Amino acid sequence: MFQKRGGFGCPFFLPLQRNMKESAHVEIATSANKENQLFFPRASQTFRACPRRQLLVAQGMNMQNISQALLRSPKVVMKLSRMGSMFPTRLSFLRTLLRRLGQDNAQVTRPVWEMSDDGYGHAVYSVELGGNVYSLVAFANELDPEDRTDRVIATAWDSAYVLYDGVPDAEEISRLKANAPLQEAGRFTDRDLVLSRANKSVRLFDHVVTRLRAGQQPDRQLVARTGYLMRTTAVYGNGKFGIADRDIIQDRPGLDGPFMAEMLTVWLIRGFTHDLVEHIGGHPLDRDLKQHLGIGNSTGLGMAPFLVSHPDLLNNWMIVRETALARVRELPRLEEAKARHIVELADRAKAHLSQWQVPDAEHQQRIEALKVEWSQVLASLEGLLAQRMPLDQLINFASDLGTDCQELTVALILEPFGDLVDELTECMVGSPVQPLNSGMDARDLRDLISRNFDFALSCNFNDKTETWQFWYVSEEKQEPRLGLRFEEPGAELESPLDIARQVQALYRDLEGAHGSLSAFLRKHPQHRAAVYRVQLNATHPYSEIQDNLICEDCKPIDMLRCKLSFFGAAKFDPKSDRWTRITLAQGAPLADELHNADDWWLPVFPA
Amino acid sequence: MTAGEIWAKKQREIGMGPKVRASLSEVFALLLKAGIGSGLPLGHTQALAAAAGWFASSPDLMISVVGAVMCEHTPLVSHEEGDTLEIEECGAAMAAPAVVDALMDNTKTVRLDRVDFPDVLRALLDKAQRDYDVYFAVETTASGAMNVSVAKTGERREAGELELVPQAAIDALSSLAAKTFVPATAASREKGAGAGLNDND
Repeated sequence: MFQKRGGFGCPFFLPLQRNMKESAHVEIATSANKENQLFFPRASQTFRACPRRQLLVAQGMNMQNISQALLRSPKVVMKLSRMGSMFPTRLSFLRTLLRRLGQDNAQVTRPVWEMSDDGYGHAVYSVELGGNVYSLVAFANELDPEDRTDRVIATAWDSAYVLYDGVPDAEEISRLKANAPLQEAGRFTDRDLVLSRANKSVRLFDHVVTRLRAGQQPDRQLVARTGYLMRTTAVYGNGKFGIADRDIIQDRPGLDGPFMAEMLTVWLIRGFTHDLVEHIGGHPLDRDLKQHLGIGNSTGLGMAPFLVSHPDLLNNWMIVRETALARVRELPRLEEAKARHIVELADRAKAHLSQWQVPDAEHQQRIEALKVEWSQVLASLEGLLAQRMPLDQLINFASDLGTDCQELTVALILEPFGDLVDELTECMVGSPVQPLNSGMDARDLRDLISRNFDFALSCNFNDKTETWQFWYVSEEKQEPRLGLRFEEPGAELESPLDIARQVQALYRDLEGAHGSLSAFLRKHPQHRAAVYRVQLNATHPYSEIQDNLICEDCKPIDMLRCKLSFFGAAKFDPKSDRWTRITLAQGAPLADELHNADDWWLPVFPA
Repeated sequence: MTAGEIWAKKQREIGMGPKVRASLSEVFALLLKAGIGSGLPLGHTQALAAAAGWFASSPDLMISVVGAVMCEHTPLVSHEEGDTLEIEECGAAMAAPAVVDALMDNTKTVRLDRVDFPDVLRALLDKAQRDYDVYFAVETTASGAMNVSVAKTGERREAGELELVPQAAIDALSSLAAKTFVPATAASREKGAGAGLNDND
């Protein structure tokens, strides 16, 4: 179970990895020496071994014979600056979940609504997904404004939530009522799948209530500007505080993908916030307003270490996205309807960008630059789409523009091709990866580092700027933080996110070494983790962020945006280079709109 | 006896005390943090934590693994004789990955003179059997030494159902984990998520 969680990696992609533009991995993957055979099974064996592929074949999908262009190199894709430019796509987890809910014709019911006139109390929402019933148990509490903070170190919130396995009876609700508002200080059971909390966006929440009580609809501009009634400040899954371990749900249809339980939770919370404000206001909100009101989220450094500590999972997310891109780039021609759809979506993206306004001057400047470049894309779009290999042409055209524009273009061209790319989401989880290959010769490992870890070898760690920052866990609620090594205390306790430095140290000690790694590791046990990462990267080429994560220039916000874009987040609203607010499920279908659940990429509010 | 062995012996003498429910994820995270806090090399800590399912399915084994983490983690002293690797007195947490590495690298037999927690070593071997799809034969000699070799067949003990975890184990692991936490300062607090804003907006 943990081996899978910490060891996701779908071998289904091995043959695809050989299509990468950079030859480094290809050379390794086609080597036939003894050591590499362990890591590079022949394609046919790999396909047979992948249970997910067998499932897809059983469903009539032929994944093997789809032609595709070369994958973009990890040396390009895995740079922090590019990861920090990613946009949500149709492969994002929330999109996948809502498609599944739509396919299941899921019905959301509200069996419990015990709420005071002022909106304090609890409610239960139930939904069947993949043959199992799950319930969001929501608690709305009175909160002193002085206690309202988005910080992890908070101890009280406007609302608390548990995604429950089944439908809770009164006794279970009572148990959750005693624990959910305590969040990290509470204890939970394996019937509790996800734990979360949210605070009101006070200005908008109060405004909406006031207007509804007066029999009026809220100000559309204010709704457009804020975009949500509440924002979550944590969404905990996978065994935290006693809740269910992931392996309890990892094989359940609908929840088997990454973060599906968490996505279901936030989507249901969004619906609860609509109901709550209508309950207090005494009148319904207009449907288009509700559609635009997503669920906010404040996200900080806690999210960043995940990408480093789950290299195989990061690889699978990225390689699915890159494979999807490669598939659409290979399309020789576009039908007229498809081309028209892409133009419509590009226009929508333009409108979305015009509604994306943030207080941070630097980020707003980035958005403004993107708007200008996007206009260039729009001006050339129809001409490019009429050519042969139209989407490849479009990507090549965008390659002369900024990274933000390039990544928006990637997200755009995936959007109309669900039939070609959606099946790949099956591989965003993973399967067990190979364990450490102790029989590999030390010289071969050093070669791997030379080929694939130039980002680590190029650092001069004698230069203070390369070790400027250090990651650590604060004793305050065990919050991950980033400190300045030469100014703040605690560097001796830093968390091991200094991958580039670890790999470089390994490389140094490998100099002159020969013979198997088993002997090398007995002498140098401190390198074991790095050895494994280097070996893993040979089969999972998108497993490493190809930057020094402790240097002065490292911006954690880039890691956050990468992960959040996979969740499906939009309207990134950075508050520093270490945390951001975002909006999830804006424009997403409401509970009674799941029959039309998939056309809400970069939503636009008709203000 | 090592400090870890003394601690584990004491826990067994008092019947391990109260037990509490913990998720596998919690046991995993605690082992990982405690291993780092105790000075165990990162890769060894990861190997130990990855076997959380085995440890969490037995309160007795849980006590042992805590003892194994508590020990001072000294480098192995070993020498090769033909196709046998001999490892002198050692801690299970340091030895287990090295034993598996050697066996997967064509060493015929690994002989361990004395291991502080043989049951922890065996749990890690059980997990490795599954990871590498092999069998290990483990023989304990009259002197208490262990001989481990690759076998054609054998028994694979998989991780069992989660059992209640001795509170003393949780406390001890938490205490070791806390060694990795940096005391909070006003400066560090100002940089975290949610910092620097009026949240009543």
